[in-house]
Amino acid sequence: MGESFDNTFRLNRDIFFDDALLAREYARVFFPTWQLVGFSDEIPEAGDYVVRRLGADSVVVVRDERGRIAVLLNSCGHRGTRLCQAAFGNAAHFRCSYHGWTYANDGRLVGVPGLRTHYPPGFRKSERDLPTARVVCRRGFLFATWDPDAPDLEDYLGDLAWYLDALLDGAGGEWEVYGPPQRVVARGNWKIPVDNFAGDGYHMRTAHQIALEQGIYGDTLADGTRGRGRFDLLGVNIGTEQGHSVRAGYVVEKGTETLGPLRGEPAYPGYPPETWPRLTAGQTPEQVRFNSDLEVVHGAVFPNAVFLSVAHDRAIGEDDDPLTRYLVWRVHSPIDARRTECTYWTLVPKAMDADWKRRSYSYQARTQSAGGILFEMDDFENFARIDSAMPGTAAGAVAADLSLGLGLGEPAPEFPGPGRAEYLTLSEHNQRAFYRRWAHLMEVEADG
Amino acid sequence: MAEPAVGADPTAFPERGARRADLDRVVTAFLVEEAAALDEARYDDWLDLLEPDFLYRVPVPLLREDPALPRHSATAVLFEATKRTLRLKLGRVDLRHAWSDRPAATTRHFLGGVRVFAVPGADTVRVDANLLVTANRGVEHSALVTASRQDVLVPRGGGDYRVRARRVLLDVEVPTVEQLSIIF
Repeated sequence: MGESFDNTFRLNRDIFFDDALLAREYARVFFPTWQLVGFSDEIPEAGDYVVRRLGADSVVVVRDERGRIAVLLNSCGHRGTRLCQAAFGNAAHFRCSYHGWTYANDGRLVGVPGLRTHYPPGFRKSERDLPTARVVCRRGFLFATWDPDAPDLEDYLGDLAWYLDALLDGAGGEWEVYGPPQRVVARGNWKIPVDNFAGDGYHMRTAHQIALEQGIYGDTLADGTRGRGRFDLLGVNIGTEQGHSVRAGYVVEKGTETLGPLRGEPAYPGYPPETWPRLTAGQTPEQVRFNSDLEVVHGAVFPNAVFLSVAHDRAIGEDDDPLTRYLVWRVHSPIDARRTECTYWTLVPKAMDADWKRRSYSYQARTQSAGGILFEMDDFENFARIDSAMPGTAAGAVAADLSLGLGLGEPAPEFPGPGRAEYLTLSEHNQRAFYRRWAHLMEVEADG
Repeated sequence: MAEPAVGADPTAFPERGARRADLDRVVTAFLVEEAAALDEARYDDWLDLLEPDFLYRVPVPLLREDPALPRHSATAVLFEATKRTLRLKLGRVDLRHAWSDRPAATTRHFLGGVRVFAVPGADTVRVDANLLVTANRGVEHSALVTASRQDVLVPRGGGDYRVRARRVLLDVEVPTVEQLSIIF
């Protein structure tokens, strides 16, 4: 990877298909970082568990008998057997299927068949509890890390924390996960979809040309009026030193190059207009400025979680459906260097009614879900095309280019959020932030 | 895992009523023609077989410890579509920049074990069948999927039907993108 003085930013392509490099990523990128492993909503009762990935390992994310959440290595301490085979369930204990070592749901080894009669006197159960990862529940989001020396989650998130809070506070603050997550296996290295979500506004006009032409985004404005002719989308990019990113797209008057309230009063596209005063009252003035007239916002939590909140038009619903927003979070776990498991959770504000929640979920399912044939399929198509074409001898020797917008973004000093925010609707600013952080952790030399 | 609490659910699927083995043959004939329209890419013909309020859902498969519990979510879906959504999807094949549909995959639906049931309190029938579908496109896109498919059919007389609802219960827990790109 390197940034040279001829206005280019390049990446060696083998980082997208080399299995040996993935092994280093597990050690250098996944081990020391915090990763999203789910939501506290998914395990409301004592004993509830879900099985997830944390780096290279399978983990059991469980609520123990005392109500505390633990992240346990899903592998018996005896011979390494996987403990939980199901994807989720409820259990007071996890009993290994091979020789019966049994763990309490907080990870303590509580049963070893033949312990008194067949093990040496000095053998201690208490020294053989399941390894546990550090876990923090932040506003219902469960982040975990294997690294005992990792910084606190808030320090790890840095400037991004403000944006995550603004996103959640923008719709009443309290959210719930709508049903079990969607999961799918996609072709392509895990970094490809992450960098796409981190800040790729550039692909919209090509990859999703059909979706735009078919009217999925439609022409309805936040207040329900039709006609986008006077309006444009202004993109703001925030890429942080920690590799996190946010790209916010605002509806602005055509030709406008800075943010400003479009219609005087704050407007929240995709939420019912009658809720807007309540939504405004629940936010700080800075959060209102961030969320007002925000049509789309997406980004990445380094290394492998991404989010998208967008308002979709009635083209995918019924004629009398209002503009409706959804918020989806997604985690990308490598299966190997060239295949990725994607897990999707749709979050809905608790204060919305059941019909609104169902519609929000349906819109996500119809467009952006694993099977979202109108939108997501074209992204996966491109990720698979990258994976097909990149590993060749000649193709692999060419660098991947991420120079779009390099040095061209205008700082946005009046922008309400922290970090360096740039106005530039089309830029690979955020992807560069992601890969700079990645290269730092991988200790890759800059080679131009 | 918690499923969201909802009121009257438009996505609810009717339970099986009395077995109607007398209708197996005629319903199978209808479904074979319906599948042929998909495989032969006669999409307008296929869309004509759907009721205006048609709802298509692929529930999220749930790998659970207890085999007695449902193996698919009642609320979460991998994909959901109305007739309008499917019209958009199938219309893409004629559009040059529909990247995932050009070239189009060749699909082949294999239908077996078709069983017809009455729907209590309705004049519709519920049809449960085993389905195997293959999809192929170029060297690397090759998918095979098995599923339990459940349909609600509206009789139109003379052995003709329209499809009001379709639920696809995939056997695979975590499907690939290629498997999910199939219209079942």
